[in-house]
Amino acid sequence: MCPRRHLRLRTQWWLILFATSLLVTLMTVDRTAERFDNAIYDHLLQLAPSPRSDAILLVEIDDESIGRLGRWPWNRSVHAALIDRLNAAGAKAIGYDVLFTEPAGEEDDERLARAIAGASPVFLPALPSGALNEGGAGSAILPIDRFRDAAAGIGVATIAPDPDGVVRGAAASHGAPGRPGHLMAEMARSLPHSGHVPSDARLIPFGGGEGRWPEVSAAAILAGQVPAALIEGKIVLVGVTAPGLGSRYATPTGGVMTGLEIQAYLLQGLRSNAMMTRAGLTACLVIALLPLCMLMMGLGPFRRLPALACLGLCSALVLGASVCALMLLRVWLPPSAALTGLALAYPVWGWRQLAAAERFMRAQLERLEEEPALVPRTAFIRREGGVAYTISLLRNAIARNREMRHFVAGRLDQLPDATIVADLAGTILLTNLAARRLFADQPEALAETAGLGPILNRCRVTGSGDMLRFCPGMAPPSACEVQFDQGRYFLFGMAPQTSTDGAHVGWVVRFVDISEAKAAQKQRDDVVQLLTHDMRSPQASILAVLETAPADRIAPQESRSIRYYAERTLQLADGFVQLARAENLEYALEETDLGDMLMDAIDDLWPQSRAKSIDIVTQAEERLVATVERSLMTRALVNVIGNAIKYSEEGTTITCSLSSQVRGDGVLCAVYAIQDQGPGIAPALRQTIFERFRRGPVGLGPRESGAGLGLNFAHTVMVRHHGRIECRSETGHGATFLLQLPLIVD
Amino acid sequence: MALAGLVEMALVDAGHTCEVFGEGQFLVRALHRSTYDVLILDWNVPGLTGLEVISWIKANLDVAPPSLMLTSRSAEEDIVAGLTAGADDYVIKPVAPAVLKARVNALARRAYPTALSGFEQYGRYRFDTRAETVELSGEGIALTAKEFALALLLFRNMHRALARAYIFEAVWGRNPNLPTRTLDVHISNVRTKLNLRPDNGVKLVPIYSYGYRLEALAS
Repeated sequence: MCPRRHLRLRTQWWLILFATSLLVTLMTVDRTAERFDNAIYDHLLQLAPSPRSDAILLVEIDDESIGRLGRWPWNRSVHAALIDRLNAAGAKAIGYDVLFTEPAGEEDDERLARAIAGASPVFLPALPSGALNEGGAGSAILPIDRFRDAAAGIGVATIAPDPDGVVRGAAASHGAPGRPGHLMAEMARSLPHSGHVPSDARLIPFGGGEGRWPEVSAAAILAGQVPAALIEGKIVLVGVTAPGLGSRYATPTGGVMTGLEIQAYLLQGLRSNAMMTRAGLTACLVIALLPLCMLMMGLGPFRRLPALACLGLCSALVLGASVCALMLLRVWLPPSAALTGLALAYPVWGWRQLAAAERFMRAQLERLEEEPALVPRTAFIRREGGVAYTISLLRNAIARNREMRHFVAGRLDQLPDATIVADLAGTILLTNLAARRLFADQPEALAETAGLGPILNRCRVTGSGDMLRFCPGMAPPSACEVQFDQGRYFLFGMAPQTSTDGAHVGWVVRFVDISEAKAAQKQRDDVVQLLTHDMRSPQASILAVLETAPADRIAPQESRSIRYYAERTLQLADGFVQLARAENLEYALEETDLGDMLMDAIDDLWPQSRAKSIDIVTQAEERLVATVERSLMTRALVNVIGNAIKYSEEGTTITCSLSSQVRGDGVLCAVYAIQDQGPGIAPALRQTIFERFRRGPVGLGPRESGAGLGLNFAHTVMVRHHGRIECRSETGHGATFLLQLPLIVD
Repeated sequence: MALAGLVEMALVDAGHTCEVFGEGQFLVRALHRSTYDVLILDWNVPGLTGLEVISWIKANLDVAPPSLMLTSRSAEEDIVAGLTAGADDYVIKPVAPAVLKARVNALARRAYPTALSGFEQYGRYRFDTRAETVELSGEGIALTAKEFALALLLFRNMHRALARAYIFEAVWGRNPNLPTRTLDVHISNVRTKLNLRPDNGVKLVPIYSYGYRLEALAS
């Protein structure tokens, strides 16, 4: 990806992080997702155990009581009787949730006041007038003075459902001095062993499960049907539950409860210090924003996990934090805003990434499309936007790739030599027709994904018989001649393959069939062998016979003729063998002084030159050294100088000079110039003088022996040394042979 | 076998005693029984080739007699192979009796050296080994110490092929750090200064990939 696009993607990352954070903050402050949070909260509460306690007894003024004692409101003497009964049974405390805010008959009030002032502390409710908002201090309507004096505590007993109609917490009651607190809070505070009652914890710990509080009907108590043991030592809550009179409320744990039951939960929560708090705004923001940042980090700069796992982890973290806080710290952290942030950031970031990837891919594919193709284009695509365009580009690129593979395989098949393409580890990628034909007996060795090993193991290096070996990462076997088990010969080569940026990516293995060339070479070697040994030996024997024969047994004239012909046959054989050597031998090059070489050649010809009294003058001013095959080069000089001697008149001079000069193509060359004073060479002959079996015209020189291979040999040797041989001559004015030899051969 | 006859005749003529074997096996058998001063081996004989005989000698005899191989001029590779395997010198077929005599004498001399006086005369060349000076036809020639040693080595081993390694050790001692070109340069200098040319009755022959040999020409 190019840096510019990378930067753009990074900018998008920051934008997404900022926007989702803003949204999450707004949601947290605004409590937009409170319904969702409430649903989660309700479910979580159902998981919690029910906080039931046998310390609380509910006394219900239910339908049965109304039916048995008369219609509501009852006469206060009935209430007094009920409280007296409870006092007599030894109740620990009594929360009497019935309003006595206006005086009734004097006698009844007096009786009730006496009952309230009885053994058990009695707590009475007050009626908050108007809205229950802050600052409504003193606006509660309290019980009449007589009862207020007799009661152990006065409190507001309001139940305030949340906006969705479900009761989750006690009504706000704290903070205003002089205004009564909640009735249950008053009771909890005044009872022993109730621990610290947090003033701001307002969420009631409703529990899951089926349980209800132990409850008895008020009528049953008044009728004396309830044993005192059931009441003794209990906190008794008295309230109206008759369907026609008391309200019923929805609760988080599902189901509907009477106000009295809710009061019991609240009291128990307060007593056991199990009330829960809604977390503050700061905590909410932290729990909402932190996972979001973590997700964005995990998706962007600090990618360690798969994106989905990252999302799952962050969501689990949010929920886990929420559950743990609620269960362990009794603090409610609403998770919805955080979850919404996560759920939003994940797809948006994914979408932006996909878009960037698609844009990049399209740009690359367009560039690829514009590059010249080896394979003819099958379809042209109209430039436009959209995914469909990218898809058609991609389809085209894939088609071209397939075509290219087909093209490569096709061209490879057309190669005459067995060729195998392998990767760096030696795994075969491609083979051509010739290779498949060559290894037809073991097709499994050529299968793609097979290694080169089995194939190389079949090759034996000619001569040593070693097996070819190839280890990935090591230098490959160098080019060499190998023999197959079926007796065929191949030139084996392994060439490195590079990618477009020059990195080494694989190998091309090639087997060039040289069986025929090998056979021809063998034949030639046999001929040379024949000439060297088998044909020479009889000639040498003839000469030996002539040498050893007694002089009186063979006429001198015939002896000379036989000797001459035997020697010529030998020379002919020698010439042939030397020519074959010059053409086929692998040259063993060594640094040689060119002046020494000239001297060797002249010394070698000393018998011939002395026989004709020919003076050979040497002119070599400087010492020149070149890398040559010394024996062949000396023989070439011998041949050229020998030729000069052969065609020169007796008593003449041959000048041999050695100098250096720069050739036309800028290469520094040593030049041997062999100049004679012989008859010269006609221009027509000069053209062909270096061909095989060419000799000077018969009769020019005296009875010359020679096979006509000498100059051809010299020519072959010079060419193989990257040199040149030429002849300058005018008929009647002698001839000059120039042998050029590069001094530095790369 | 005509060649063997020629060789035998030439050697007998030079005053040597000579035994001819038709096959390599016979020679090997004979080597078990008796000792010889010089062996002359044809490279291509039935049974055991000259190369195989040389290998057998190197492996089985405590004191190997010097050996001379007869070979065809065309196969220079054979010459190198033979010399490398352990042959001491070679003669190219067809065999010239004079050359054969000179080489056999050189081998016999090397193998069984005679005592030397202060002055040594080789044709026109006269060496004073004490003063380390050389005269050519009575005229003194200035040589460095190494050149004198090299020249004397060549003349003392007249007609004998000297391996490069042998020359190196004889003149420079065991000093492996010298470049191989050193020897060629010294040979070239000696050749020029002493004018080792056929006109002075000697000829310096390079033996490719092996070494050098100084030959005295028949006048």
